[in-house]
Amino acid sequence: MFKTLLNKCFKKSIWVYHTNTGACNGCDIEVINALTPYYDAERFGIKLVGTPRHADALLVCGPVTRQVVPALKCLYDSVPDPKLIIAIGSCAIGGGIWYNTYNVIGGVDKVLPVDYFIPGCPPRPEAILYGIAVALGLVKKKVSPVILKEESPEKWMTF
Amino acid sequence: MFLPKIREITEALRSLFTPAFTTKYPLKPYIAHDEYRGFPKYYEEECVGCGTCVQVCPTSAIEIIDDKQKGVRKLVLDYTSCSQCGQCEEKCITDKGIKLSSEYVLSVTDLKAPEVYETVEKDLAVCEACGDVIACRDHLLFVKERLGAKAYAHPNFLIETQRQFAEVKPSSIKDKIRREDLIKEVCPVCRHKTVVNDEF
Ligand code: SF4
Ligand code: SF4
Ligand code: SF4
Repeated sequence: MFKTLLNKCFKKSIWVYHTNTGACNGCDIEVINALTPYYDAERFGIKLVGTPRHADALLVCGPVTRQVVPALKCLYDSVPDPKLIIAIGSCAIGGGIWYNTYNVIGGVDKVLPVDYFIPGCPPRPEAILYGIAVALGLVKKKVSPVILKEESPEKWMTF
Repeated sequence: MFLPKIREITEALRSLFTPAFTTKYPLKPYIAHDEYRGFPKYYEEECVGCGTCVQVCPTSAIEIIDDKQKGVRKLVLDYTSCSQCGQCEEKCITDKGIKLSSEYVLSVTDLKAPEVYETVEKDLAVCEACGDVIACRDHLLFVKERLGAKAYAHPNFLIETQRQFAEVKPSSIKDKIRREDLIKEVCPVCRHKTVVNDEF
């Protein structure tokens, strides 16, 4: 009951916090691009917020470098439940072109439970919009409902 | 004196009747322009299975899986690692085996989902003596074509050419490969061993 209510609220508007874990800035620019008047993500209620404590979703770009891991975990903790983690770009998914570098531990899914992956290097703003629209259930193709994860610290502690 | 704000009013009227600048994107599809480098796609007829794209890929997005028992080579391209750089298209030996499409939209919840993989399967020619990989059959034919008349100097090309027209019987190489087996489909290592070690 509560979960369905939350699901409904989630659909209406989703506030995102954008974070860079070591990206080359390509993905960041595309995320910003998706928020410009041309793509206008705000028509879906997607809004960029300045602090993770206001956010529903975390947009993570870039490979996870060793140094950023504690910060990323702290960030994940600060986002109130329920939360969505969206990994944007090949780097955030599996390391991308930095898959075997000494300072990169891999994709975001090594540290956090990721809900949506949007591949591309960088993904077009359309692809980002599509990914988020899929996550929100606005687009019906390949849709799976928003799954609210139970918090399981063990899952993201192991990396 | 109060003047009517003509400029503002005309602007307001104009913007009332012009369509919005914002794209309609998720409701209407957007087709990327031709030069856009989207996700690469294999063309099974043109690809010869040489594995060059695997070697040049900077993200190791393509995996090569050889099944020596069945004689099948599988090239598995993982879109989630691909950085759409176009190296595979540029370095492809046939120039047409893999091409970047203008497709760019993909969103998955699971990295093992089938839509993030693109697979191409090719028949392998395996050594009759040791069972090791020689090359893909299409690759041998491709090289034969390029070599022209010179290709007939090598038995592997001959056998592959024969195989196009008729069934080639599986040969019976005994436990040890001998000099007379050189006219069979054997790998370079076995060929070398025979020439060096086999006594007359
Ligand atoms: S996916 Fe490509 S554009 Fe995005 S951070 Fe990695 S290298 Fe840069
Ligand atoms: S486009 Fe680049 S990253 Fe993608 S498969 Fe080809 S070589 Fe690899
Ligand atoms: S022919 Fe081209 S696409 Fe096929 S394996 Fe060789 S390089 Fe890759």
